[in-house]
Amino acid sequence: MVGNVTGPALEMRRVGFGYNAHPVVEDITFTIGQGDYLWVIGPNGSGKTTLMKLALGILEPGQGEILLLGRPVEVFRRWERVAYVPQTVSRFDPFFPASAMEVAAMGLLSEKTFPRRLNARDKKRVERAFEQVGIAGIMKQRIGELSGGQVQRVYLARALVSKPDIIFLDEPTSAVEPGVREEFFRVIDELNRQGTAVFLINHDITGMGIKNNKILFINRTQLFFGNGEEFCISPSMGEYFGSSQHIICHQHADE
Amino acid sequence: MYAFEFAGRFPELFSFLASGFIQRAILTGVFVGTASGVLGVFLVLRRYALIGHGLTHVAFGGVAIGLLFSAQPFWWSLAVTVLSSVGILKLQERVKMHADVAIGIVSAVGMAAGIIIASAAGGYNVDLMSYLFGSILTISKSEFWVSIAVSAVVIGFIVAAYHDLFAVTFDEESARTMGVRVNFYNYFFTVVSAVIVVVGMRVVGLLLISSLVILPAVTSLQLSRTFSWCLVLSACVAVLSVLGGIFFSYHLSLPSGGTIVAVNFLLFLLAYAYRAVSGR
Repeated sequence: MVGNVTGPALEMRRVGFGYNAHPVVEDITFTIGQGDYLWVIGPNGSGKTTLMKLALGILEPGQGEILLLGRPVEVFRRWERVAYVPQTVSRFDPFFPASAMEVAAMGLLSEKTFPRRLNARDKKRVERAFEQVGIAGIMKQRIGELSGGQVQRVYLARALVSKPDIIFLDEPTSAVEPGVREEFFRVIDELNRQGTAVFLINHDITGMGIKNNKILFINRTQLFFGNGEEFCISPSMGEYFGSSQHIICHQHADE
Repeated sequence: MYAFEFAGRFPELFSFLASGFIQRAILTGVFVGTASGVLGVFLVLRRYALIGHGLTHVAFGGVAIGLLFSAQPFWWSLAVTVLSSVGILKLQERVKMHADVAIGIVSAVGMAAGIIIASAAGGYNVDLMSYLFGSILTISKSEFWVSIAVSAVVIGFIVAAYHDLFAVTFDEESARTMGVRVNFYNYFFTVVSAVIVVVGMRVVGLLLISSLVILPAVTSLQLSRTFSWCLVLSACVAVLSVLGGIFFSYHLSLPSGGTIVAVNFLLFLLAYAYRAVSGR
């Protein structure tokens, strides 16, 4: 699946969206190339999650154009090339009677045609995804019995089973313990190194690698789009952290 | 001593199974119960549990129309209820109202129409009462075959579309990003709810059919750790309720519809107690 992208993974051209004449996002234009790693940042209510939902076709833009893996998102059908890790804290039902395995196996549905049937090979793929995210021991547990961090990793396993060309993650570490956060990003970084483009919403950019990453800073409108080095020296950096902050951008030796 | 007496009466207790009308009632109950139990899990988890109750009011209107024209109330009720179920979805989409409000509007209009039409037809007669309270023991051959066939189709489709239905129920937004046709399945749940209400009205009656959809699902949710097992358990609870209800109704001369629901509720209490005691 990975490596079949011949053009940008995602393109948004002058995209706008609102509810009842109240704009949520306006005039957003950016491109995620193959293998790019885009961090989307902005204050609460800035439209980040809305932007992600527009990219995935869950919402329909009022203005502009969105191309997902080269196709207009409204007619996009190759969902086996796309993975989505939603923000679990806001939507997760802890009483839902499903095992972690059943939830993660959903990631294979996009590859199948009706009636979708999962076989023993599919089960092995799900098991490997669980091992990849370090939660092989909880496959048979009910999803509601897991911690927030474990649930998030089940969702990540669901995204990994299909080996997508682009993965969308909405605040994926909001419920994850600090010690697990590093491991979580290690998995995403590895996926990116294998060629998967990443669209990541994360309000916390401290610890993000500067080189080879792109940043999109929005607050209804687009305030900045570029790479990390440009962001470090732009006025937007101070705007994001507040003028009272003193920012030091540094690179690690291995970047 | 009483055990010996019971054992001695065993053949007598189950001799009623030889009757044709009992066999039809049991088969109808098994198929309709299975379909209701399985559908109920999806409706309860999607917070759509009361759509069945709302549609019973509309089905009442359909039955009244059928009795007014001395035509088959079943088919009139099916047509009116299915159309109304689609109307509920359209109200939600076009007028942007919540599901419970849309259900409330449609069910109120359906019930009002039923009351007016029943009055025009000469009031509440025995036929109308049998649809309200159920009469599984007097189900006709044509109603029997239609109920079996419709329930079998519903069960078959749910089995075939199991993974899609699971995805839509667990997380609708994520299901869209997996290529699952979410809008189609939203209509599917609503229309099938209408169908189950109509085929189920002979089993437990319009007043109680929603409980045959909700109670088995809620019972199985007390005990299930996987989704597939939840569906199987809910179907088993529904079938057990129907069979138990028919058994006690026949031997104790109780109304079949109410007895089925009473057995259903007893099973829920047992499941809840087991869960509370075992600490699950």
